[in-house]
Amino acid sequence: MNIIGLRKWFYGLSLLIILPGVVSLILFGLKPSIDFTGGTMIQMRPENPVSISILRSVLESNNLKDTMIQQSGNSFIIRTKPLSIEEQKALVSSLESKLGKISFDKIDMIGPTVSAELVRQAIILVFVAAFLIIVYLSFRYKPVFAICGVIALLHDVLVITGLFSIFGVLFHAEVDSLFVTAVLSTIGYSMHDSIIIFDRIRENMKFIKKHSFEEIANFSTLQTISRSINTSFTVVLVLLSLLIFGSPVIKWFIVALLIGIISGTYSSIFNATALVVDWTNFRKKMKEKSK
Amino acid sequence: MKFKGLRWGIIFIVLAVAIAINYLMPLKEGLDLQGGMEVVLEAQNTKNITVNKEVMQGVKAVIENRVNGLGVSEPLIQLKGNNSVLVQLPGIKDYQNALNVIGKTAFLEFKEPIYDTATGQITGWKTVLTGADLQDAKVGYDSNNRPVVDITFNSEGAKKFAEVTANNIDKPLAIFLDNKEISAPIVKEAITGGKAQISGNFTLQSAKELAIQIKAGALPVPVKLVEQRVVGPTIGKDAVDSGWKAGFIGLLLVAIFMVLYYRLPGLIADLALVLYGVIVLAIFKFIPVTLTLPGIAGFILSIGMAVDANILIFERLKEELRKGIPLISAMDLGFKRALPAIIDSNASTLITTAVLFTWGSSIIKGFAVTLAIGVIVSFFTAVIISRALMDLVVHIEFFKKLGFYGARVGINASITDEVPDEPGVFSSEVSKSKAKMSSSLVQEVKEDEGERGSAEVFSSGEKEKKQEKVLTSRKDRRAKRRRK
Repeated sequence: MNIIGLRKWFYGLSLLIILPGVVSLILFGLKPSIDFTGGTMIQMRPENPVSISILRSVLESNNLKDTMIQQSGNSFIIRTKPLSIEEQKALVSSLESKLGKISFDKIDMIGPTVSAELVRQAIILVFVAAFLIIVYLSFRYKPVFAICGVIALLHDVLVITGLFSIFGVLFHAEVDSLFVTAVLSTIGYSMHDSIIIFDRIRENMKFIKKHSFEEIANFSTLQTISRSINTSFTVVLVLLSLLIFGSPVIKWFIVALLIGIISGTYSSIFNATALVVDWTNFRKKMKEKSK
Repeated sequence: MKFKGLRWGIIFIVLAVAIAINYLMPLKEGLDLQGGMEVVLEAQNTKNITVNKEVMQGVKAVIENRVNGLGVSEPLIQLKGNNSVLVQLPGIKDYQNALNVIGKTAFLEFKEPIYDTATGQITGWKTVLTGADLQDAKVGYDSNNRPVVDITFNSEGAKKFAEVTANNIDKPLAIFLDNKEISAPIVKEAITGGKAQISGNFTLQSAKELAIQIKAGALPVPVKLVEQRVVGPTIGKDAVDSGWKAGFIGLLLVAIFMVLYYRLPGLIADLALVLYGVIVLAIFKFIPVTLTLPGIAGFILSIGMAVDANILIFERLKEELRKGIPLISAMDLGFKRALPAIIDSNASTLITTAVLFTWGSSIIKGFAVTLAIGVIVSFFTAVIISRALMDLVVHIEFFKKLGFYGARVGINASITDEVPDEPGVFSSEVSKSKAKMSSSLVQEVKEDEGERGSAEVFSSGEKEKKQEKVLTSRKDRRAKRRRK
């Protein structure tokens, strides 16, 4: 099998997945949760059946007009502006007086300053992590590997954010601080995967006299491919069981992790090394030209 | 041999300690798992006071007092940044009440009326005593058995109170909480004992709340709720139950997969994985790590990475076996060659976790800590425990059949470090011929081994030399073949 030889096709496949996501990102962006916008989120289960319109009228009587209500089964999620202690108390008591007994599963309130801080933090985290990984890889391997590894990693970030932008439009999937955690673990995982292939290339470089770099890159990838796939398969197994049997509270977090792990594995096998090859070939050509 | 004894010693000590900790210590569950409330309160500047470290210490002390009044077990109150206090109340059910008690400014004042000199009407109120003059506050009952708040002044306050009551006989003396009048009893006589009663329209609950607030004293500055997360008890329990179930099913699937794919080593990896779980859990309990949903996710991801180290090693082992290297040497080589990749890839994950821990918010921190612990422990279990178990197994005659290791000599032989020379190299013919060669080689080497006795006899250095010999002789043979 010649994975590296087919690299143009794999670049194409990557673009095919990334492009719709990027278009969606440009058109619709991500759907931020109250973690990033500030606001109050109430998740509640009334004991008696309640319709959305009744719920809305109760909210409006509390002067909460721009409120989003989402229903799944007998569970409601209400999103509204940040509420103070008194406003929350008033809302809860008027909900209970008009709708009967209610069990409140979650009541989160994030003030505007906190949310601004979280956005800043998320962006810093992604960049610092990427930067430190470049430094480490340049030190252990060559800068080429570091840069290509990080490009593969940005590929994964684009895949997750792009798909979540689409999910946001289709399924109201929101991006919260757990999503940031998922993106960051993908970064770690994708790097982990690329490094194993790079390590193999480093080891196989002793055959460089007999073989072209492209060949070495290819059989290094083939030598490690079963471990890449098996490892990811085990992680995917656990994540899938979490998705099926686990708490619905972290459903989207698990979905993000799943996408990240699969994309991370793909980009490590089919993109990272391929980019190193293209880069080296490009450098060679430039050298020959200058001669 | 000495080293091997030491290794088993370390393994047994670590496991004994881990099991003891697991038996003795509880696992700390985060708010999202056991339900509860987390709030962040931000202190506001006032005309007279600018928020600084000392003011924040005061705010923290007052909030601590109030939280103690709530009777929550294991509350957490800590300063956050320059002007905020983080309060965590695990397991609390009546969060509305808690929110009230913690977040209220609770500024208590006793005020005497100011009269218009012309008409004798009350035109305003003048503060004569504040919460700072109080010593204690408790719930009591008045003569009609209605709940009231009994307060005791400190010596200074008692003196002032006696004076104020003496001056205001037959006049009202109002009690204000946060600038709201809660009661304005008429003074009948001068009260000298330093004790008074606040009556209002109290329920037992509201009287309790007020007593707690008064006793805790007034906050030096007003506070504002900037962040709040409440998780109901049912949803938390749900998350834990389904989390354990899902984790168990996932692990079982991974264990089955490992055995099916890697056979005997897979079984060893599964055993190592169980021990991994025991050790990680013990560390979580010992530090202690507060386990949250993202924390569990970090743990699960680390399981993947723990298996990964083993997968790397076993893939290497298979490769070496395919090349025809005898089992014991192949195992040595497998571990040795997989090590740099394991170290580098784990280091990159640790870098990520360090970044997350340094700059992340509390949710992200929990994830980072569990992942980092997982990565470090997985290194130990893969490199020390799996290794020890493999060492044990490969020396047992019964387990020496290559079938136990899932390696069929010759399959995929073209992808070994004996790199084919021509570009058209990945053709099936070449691999077939090589397959024949390698399988015959295995037998030869095995016989060799039988004659010389087991590999244990050699020190590790010698073993390596022997290894190299095998390799070079193979290369020679290949070279000869090529010349033909």
